[in-house]
Parts: sequence; C-alpha cells; structure tokens
Amino acid sequence: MASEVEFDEFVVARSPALLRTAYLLTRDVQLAEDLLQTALTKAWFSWTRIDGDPEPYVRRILINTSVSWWRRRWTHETPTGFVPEPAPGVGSAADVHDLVQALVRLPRRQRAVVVLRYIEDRTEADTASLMGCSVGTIKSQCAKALKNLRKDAALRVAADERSAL
Amino acid sequence: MNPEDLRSLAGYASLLDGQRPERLAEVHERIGVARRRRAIAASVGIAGVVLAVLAGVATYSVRHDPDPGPVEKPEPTIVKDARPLLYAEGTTINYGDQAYDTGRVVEFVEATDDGFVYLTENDGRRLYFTDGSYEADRIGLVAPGHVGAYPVLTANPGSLVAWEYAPTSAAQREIVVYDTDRHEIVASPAGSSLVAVNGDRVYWDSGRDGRSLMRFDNSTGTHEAVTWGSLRADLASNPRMLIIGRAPDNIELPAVTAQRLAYFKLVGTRLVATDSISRGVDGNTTEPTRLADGRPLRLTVPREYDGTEESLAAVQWLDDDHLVLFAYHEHNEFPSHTGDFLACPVPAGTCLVAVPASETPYVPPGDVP
Repeated sequence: MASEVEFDEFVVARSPALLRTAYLLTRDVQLAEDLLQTALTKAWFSWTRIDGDPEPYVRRILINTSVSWWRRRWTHETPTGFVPEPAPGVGSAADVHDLVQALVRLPRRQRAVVVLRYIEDRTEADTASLMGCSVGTIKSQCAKALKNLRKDAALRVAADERSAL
Repeated sequence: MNPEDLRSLAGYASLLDGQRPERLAEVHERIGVARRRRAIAASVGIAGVVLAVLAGVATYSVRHDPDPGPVEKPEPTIVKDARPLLYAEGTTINYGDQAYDTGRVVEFVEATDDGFVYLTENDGRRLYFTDGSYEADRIGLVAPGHVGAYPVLTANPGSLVAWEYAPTSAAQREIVVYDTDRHEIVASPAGSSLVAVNGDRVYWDSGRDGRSLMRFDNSTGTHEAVTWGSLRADLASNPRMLIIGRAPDNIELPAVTAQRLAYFKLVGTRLVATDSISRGVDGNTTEPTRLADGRPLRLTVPREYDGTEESLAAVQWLDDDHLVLFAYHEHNEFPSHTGDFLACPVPAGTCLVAVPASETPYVPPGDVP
C-alpha cells in the first residue's frame, strides 16, 4: 500500500515522464500540465488503495482523461508559442513540427494509441491495458492511425521534398 | 510514415523541461479544493443531489427505486416542429427527405431549427448555412483546431450557431454568433473558448483569467459576466440535455452536461452508458445517463438488431422526445463512419433503425471522435 508521503515522492520523481506523455497527447504545454495535475489529483484519492507500482494507474488516468475530457476544454485546443527545439538526431525542426501537427490532427483515441505504442514504445498488451481495451482494438487503431498519418497532407509534402533531394 | 518516424518524437518530447518545483504544491492545492467539494457534497447527502439541482427536480427516489417502472413522458417544450434527421454522406447532406449536394466532401454538419451548418474538406474552414432549399450562404470562418474538434456549437432548440474565429493563430479569438432565423451575425465578442449554446444564450470563456464566464443573450442583445451556477441552471431548463456522470474535479460544472456524445454499448438489448467520464477514476462506477428532468435514460434496441460490435453515440435531438443514436464501427476513418442511425422515442425507450448503414460512410451531426 502506498503512503501519502510516497505520493509526494512519486509526483516529484515521475512527473517529468508523465508530462512528456501528456504533452504528446495535447501538444500544448499548459494543457499538458493541467492534464498531469488533474490525473495526479484523481490518483491521490485512491492512493492508499493502490497495490504495487502506482505509475500504470496514474498513466491510465492520464490517458482516460485526455481521451474523454473532450467537451469543456479539449475540443478547443489552441497552439501555444512554446515548441521545444529538436535535439541533434531528432530530425529537422520542420519535420518534427509536421509530425507533431499530424499527430494532433488524429482522433484522440488514435493519438493516444500512437503515443503509447510507438513513441513510448509500449507493447500492444501494455497499451491495451492502459487504454482499457483489447489488443485487437489497439492493432486496429494503430493501423488506422498510421493510415491517417500517411494521408496527412503536411507529411506527404515533407516526404516529397525529401525524396526530391 | 512509419513507426520509426514517430519514435523520433520521443526525443522531441524529452526536451520538455518537466521539472517544476511548484507542481507538488499546485497538486495539493487541487486536492484540497476537491476534498472540500466532496465534503460539501457529503454533508448535504449524496452526489445525486447535485444532479437533482441540475435537473431541477428531486431524483433521489428514482435513483433508489430498484424498479421504478416505465419512464413517463417529460413535458414537451417544443416551439417548432421536430427537426429532420441530419447527416452527411460524401458530398451530400441528407436533411430529412432532402439531399443537398455541397460539391465537396463534408467534414462537419450540425443543425439549428432553421436548417444546417456545415464545413467541407479543403475549403479553408468556411462555414455555410442553408435549409437545403437554396444555395448555402457562407456565414463565416472557423478558427483552426484539429480534425473532428470544430469549435462550432448550435442551439437545440433554437436558431443560434456560434463558433470561434481568429484571423491568425496568435490573434485574440472572437466568438461569432449567427442567428439562422434572421440570417445575420448578432454578436462577435472577444473570447477564448466557446462553452455552450443554449436557446437564445451563448456562453464562453473571456480568456482574461481562464475562468471568466460570459453570456450573450440574443433576446436582449446584451452580454455580461455570469456565474457557472447560472449556466447550470440554464442547461437544466433544457429537456434535450443529458447529464453524464461526474466531471473531473477541476471543472466547474459538477456533472458533464451535453446534448450529445453519451456513449453506449449494447448489453443484450439494453444500452449501457460507457462514457469514460461516467466510469470514474476506477473505471467501473458507471453512472446512468440522465435527462435534464432527472429521469434515467433507458434505451433498448430490438432483439433482432445486429449491432453488438458497434459503439453507439447520441448525436441529435429531433425534439424533446426523440433522440438519434449513431451505431458505428469504432475504428472507422474519421470523420465518416459506417453505421446505422437509430431513432429512439425517449419515453418508450425502444430504438429503431431509421437509416441503415450503406457502403458510403456517414458523417453524423457534431463531433464523433
């Protein structure tokens, strides 16, 4: 059973990693911080009942909230001025920007699957567990997401420009 | 596009500075607010009381009656005839028995009492309005968002359509309000985020501090700052409103209130609410979906209906007594989906297929993620 002291330690230790997931889901630093704090607040109320590692539990809250918190705020996502500059080897700024833009244009469930499966490199089973659905659903969502990304106009342009070089 | 491209984003995200010393204090502040709210709710009874306030009637006895019997018909408040069933199919918008060809693939469609608004693919987010009998009027431009999350809301019942507009992504957004009965823009105040449209009233965040709720009243032509309680009371007066579980603690509305997007799954012939908000934190405390009059929304499909592999979402109220569901394959391509439209007479609760699926996917009204 996790103690409330451990909650504070968890917040300090794991928030940066959880924030990265939240950012990829929202593409907005402020919304990501809001999403993270919302998930942590929800988790606090069940904290003493969590058996084992609390991170999968908190991460599941994060994912569920990002997918379902659609009306009050998330239908109105707006770009912010802050965009991290890519590190060497990550790809050009334009490529990364196009990729992030394409990602955020995906329906939320597909976006969540892509973030967990490909960006965080989780297994299909792990992703299914976090999303609360079957492995078959994850496979299907992944295929749809990749198909949508391949059709994305911005990425097509970037790919065409690269192939022309 | 392949998974390797996507993995490069992991490095990109890692550049975020995720350490904020004040985060822990902010989380505890949120926890304190949530605890106080829970304590207040507990002191006056149960969370159902909050729903009752929203609904405007006492619901306690209904919630605790194991077999409350058939749901009585709510008092209708229709001022106009029922709306025609609305959906798009490729470039065509079906509006009752009319078929309106837009010339482009339709991405978004939504109704008012007087017709429908729509956006089409690769058209610069231009918003059009018509009742199907004449060439559509271009009524405005919608601010950028991502696919399937158009910041456009309409009144039901009513004639108002409101959307967010910004000339550039960095510019201050405006909330544009158009009256489809008068065929004119009736207001365009500055604001950051559209919150709700209900009857003659439009609500939005002013954007000043992220919590300032403003209201435009088309009947008086005035706008003013209002409380979230006013919004709750206003929404509770609309019989075409669903209350879906409890909201996250930091959202001012104590219950998620919407005219659409309650999600269901078939359990036998019964439709069970599955919205993940309703499920709560632990994922299994489903709250029944309720009408704004406090009565449970109990829907079934005929035993012979073959839709067990589909998700169902409430997408349109035709009048106070008829809700349209879209039963769609969950993993179809957005924004169109293969699926059936089912018309549900709410008092009786038995949904029947109104438009069967075809080879061409459909775009239902509003957003279906």
